Amino acid sequence: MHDCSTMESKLVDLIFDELDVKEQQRLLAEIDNCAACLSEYRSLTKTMLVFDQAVEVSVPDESYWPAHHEALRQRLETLALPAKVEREPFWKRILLAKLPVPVPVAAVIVLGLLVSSVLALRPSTQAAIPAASYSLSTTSSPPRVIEVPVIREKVVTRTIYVEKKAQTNTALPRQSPTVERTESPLMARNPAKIERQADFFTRASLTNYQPPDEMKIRIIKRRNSDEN
Amino acid sequence: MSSTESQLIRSAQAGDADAFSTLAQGFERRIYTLALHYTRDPHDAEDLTQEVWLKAFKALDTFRGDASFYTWLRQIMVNTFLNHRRGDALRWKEMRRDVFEDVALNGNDSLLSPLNEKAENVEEHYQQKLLVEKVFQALGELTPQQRLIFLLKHREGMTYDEISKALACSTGTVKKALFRAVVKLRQQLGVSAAPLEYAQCGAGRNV
Repeated sequence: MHDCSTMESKLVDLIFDELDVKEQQRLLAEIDNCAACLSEYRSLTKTMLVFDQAVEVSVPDESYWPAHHEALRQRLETLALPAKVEREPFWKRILLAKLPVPVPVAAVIVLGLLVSSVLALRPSTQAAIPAASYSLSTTSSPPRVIEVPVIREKVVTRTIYVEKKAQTNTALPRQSPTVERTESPLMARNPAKIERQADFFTRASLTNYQPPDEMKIRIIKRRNSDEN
Repeated sequence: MSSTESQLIRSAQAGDADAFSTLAQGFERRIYTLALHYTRDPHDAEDLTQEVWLKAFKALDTFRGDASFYTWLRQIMVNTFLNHRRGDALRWKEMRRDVFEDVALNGNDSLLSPLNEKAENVEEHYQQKLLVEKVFQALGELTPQQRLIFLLKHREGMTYDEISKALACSTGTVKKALFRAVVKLRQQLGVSAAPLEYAQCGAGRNV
């Protein structure tokens, strides 16, 4: 049963050759029996024919195509040119290479290089660490850690030396019982020095010492470094 | 795919622009004509065609030979056409007015060159220009997608299914776009529509 309201889709199929031959013939026979659908079909077909005429007219003349092709060829050559350029030697490319880096990134890199170079030039105190750790690691038992309290105590000894000349002036006997010679560890280690110092200075105890009216006392402070 | 075409494709894939240029020569008229009807402007069509070819040349590595070269190229063309935004309606209206004035008053048809010179006399030439003008105007009434669907169907002979896949739309959309395109063309070209009784039955109504 023919229904004009369903013909729109079928006419499109017919005009644009979407139907097989059998279906095409069946539809054409159906349209042929409906004056309205036949008229619509003819007007649409005529439209397509006119369109095709316009298309034929609008297609460029033969003289157009060589220039069109040449333009395309040149564009393609330009596009393909970078691939054809002979490559320079590797060392030259490295030397002339330009690396686009943002300024902040470049600044950070330069700063990092400077810091690392300064650190590298400093005398390293940790160089011996690997050796020490190696020696520790070679022992069979793990190292035992003993915590020892370190008391930092500074003993200040003030020794008063009296010049020998002054003693002689005051008529104090050299081998006076109040005068005693003490031997410090330093002195024990260096007897020659002791003798030299003994010639010049005499260590005296000032207990029960009555200074004369005129006496010049010279106090010599020993430094810690003298003990070493 | 012929052995010559295969050889040209291999050479072009290796970066040989001359080989690609030779390969393009077999399809460039087809691509340009389609671009001309899509853009309705010779200069835009020229630009669009070149863009299609350059994209194809750059993407040639992706061609695996599963389909024909032209099928592969056509998909690039469809995508390029749909992304083309230069030909806006306003510019087209201004150009259309200028063409009518120039052709009518001065016989100057440079805007539509390089249209062919088949007409033997000025009157026939003028009629041809007007016909092309009407067709282009009718195509301009369609959306870019409808226009492309119509051209792919009528000029390229693609099936509904192929078009719907290429444009990622339904076959129903394709059929509606086609009917609308034909009705618009009929209206612009002055072809008599169906009589009133047919319009009442519904088949001749606009979509």
